[in-house]
Amino acid sequence: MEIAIKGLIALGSVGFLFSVLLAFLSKKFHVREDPLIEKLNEALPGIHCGACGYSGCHAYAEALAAGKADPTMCRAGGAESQKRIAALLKVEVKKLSPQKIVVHCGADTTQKKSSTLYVGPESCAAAHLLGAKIDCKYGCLFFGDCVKICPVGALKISQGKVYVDHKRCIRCGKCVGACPRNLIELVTVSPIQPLYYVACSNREKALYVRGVCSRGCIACGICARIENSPFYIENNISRIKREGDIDIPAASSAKDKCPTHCIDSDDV
Amino acid sequence: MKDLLLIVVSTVLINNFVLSYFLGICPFLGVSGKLSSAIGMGLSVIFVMTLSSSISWLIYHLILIPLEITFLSYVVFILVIASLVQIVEMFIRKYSPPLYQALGIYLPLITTNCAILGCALFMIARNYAFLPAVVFGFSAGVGFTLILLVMAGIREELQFNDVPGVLKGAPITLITAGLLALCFMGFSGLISS
Repeated sequence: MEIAIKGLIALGSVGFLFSVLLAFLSKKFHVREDPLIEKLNEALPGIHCGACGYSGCHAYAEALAAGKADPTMCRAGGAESQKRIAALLKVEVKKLSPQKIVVHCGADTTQKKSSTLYVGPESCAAAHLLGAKIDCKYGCLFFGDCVKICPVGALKISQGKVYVDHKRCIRCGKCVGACPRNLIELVTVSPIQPLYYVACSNREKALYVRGVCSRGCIACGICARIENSPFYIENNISRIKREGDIDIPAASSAKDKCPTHCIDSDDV
Repeated sequence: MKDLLLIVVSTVLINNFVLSYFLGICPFLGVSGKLSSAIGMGLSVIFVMTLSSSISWLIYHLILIPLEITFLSYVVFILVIASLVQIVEMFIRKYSPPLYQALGIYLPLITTNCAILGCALFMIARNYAFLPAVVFGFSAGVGFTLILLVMAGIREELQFNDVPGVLKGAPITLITAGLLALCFMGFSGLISS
């Protein structure tokens, strides 16, 4: 007990002495930063996602202040922080169209067939290398490599399917690179229209698709044959044209008519 | 005087911290890419090592031993080292921003540089008096700097050489470090007692 008190006092006083010294020296050696960098740093979201290509928000702010970086590179901050950066740097910025994350596999565990038992590392990258866990070689492996890398927790996996919380998503695009099967895409969308997309990436013929998943695109072409339809078939899979506004009634009827229900939308 | 000289020679060359105790490998590999930043790193390590060994000695002998709480030596030494590194960092940031940029993350990493804690602990374990302890700390830093400079020189030359693809980058650096360690083994018979 006595030793403990002695130790506490000795350690505490040594620590206190050093902290006083440090506080004194930090005042004495204080370095003034460029106030512009500080203000730019405040205008940025400060989550250091790295989507701009710099090692963090502070590095990007420094590059901005030096005039080396483009003010539209911060995807996480979106229009709000771009406006503030533009005001600070006194430049005009182009308006960015909103972007959204789309996952091109919408099948849950009841729809994706699985005839192998996978016991390897709990990561999509590993399961993808082995081609195990699910039969479809294009589908989501739902170990959540994308969920793990997401800096804001906008993705979640439930019943073997990835759900995106578009309100939380900052469009940094990290999940796009994390998915070993390239199922995640960052698409430019219209701000007023609902988002339609094909929730499947299987480029095989219908026979194979039917064998591995009940929600896969079999490239039947029903969606593409509807009048004014934004959908078209390419490489055995339905795709959607994203240039300009899409014909919503046609897209919605394609969604209804799709025999495997692999056309999805965030229109609720 | 002879004792001090022996300590210097044995710490710098024979029992070099990097090449025979394998302490401080992280900055040794991380900052040895460029000669200029290696010099800065070496100087700050010399500074921190000398100061930390002297302050650690004082604290150990004037506070820890009289109070019989020598078991706290690790914690206290780490406290001393961390504070000193902070001071060095502030100093460099104020007076040499390019060096601050060049050292980057390795500067705060001096805190966790095991060579510095190792130096303080060896000094206690070998029962040095105050002056030998300071000389020991200083020469340990000099030894570290020497190896860092030799390595940086070699690595700068290495950039102009045609290294086989598989060995490019880290592997050739590690091989070079191993060869250097072998060379320094040659000093082991330098002093016969």
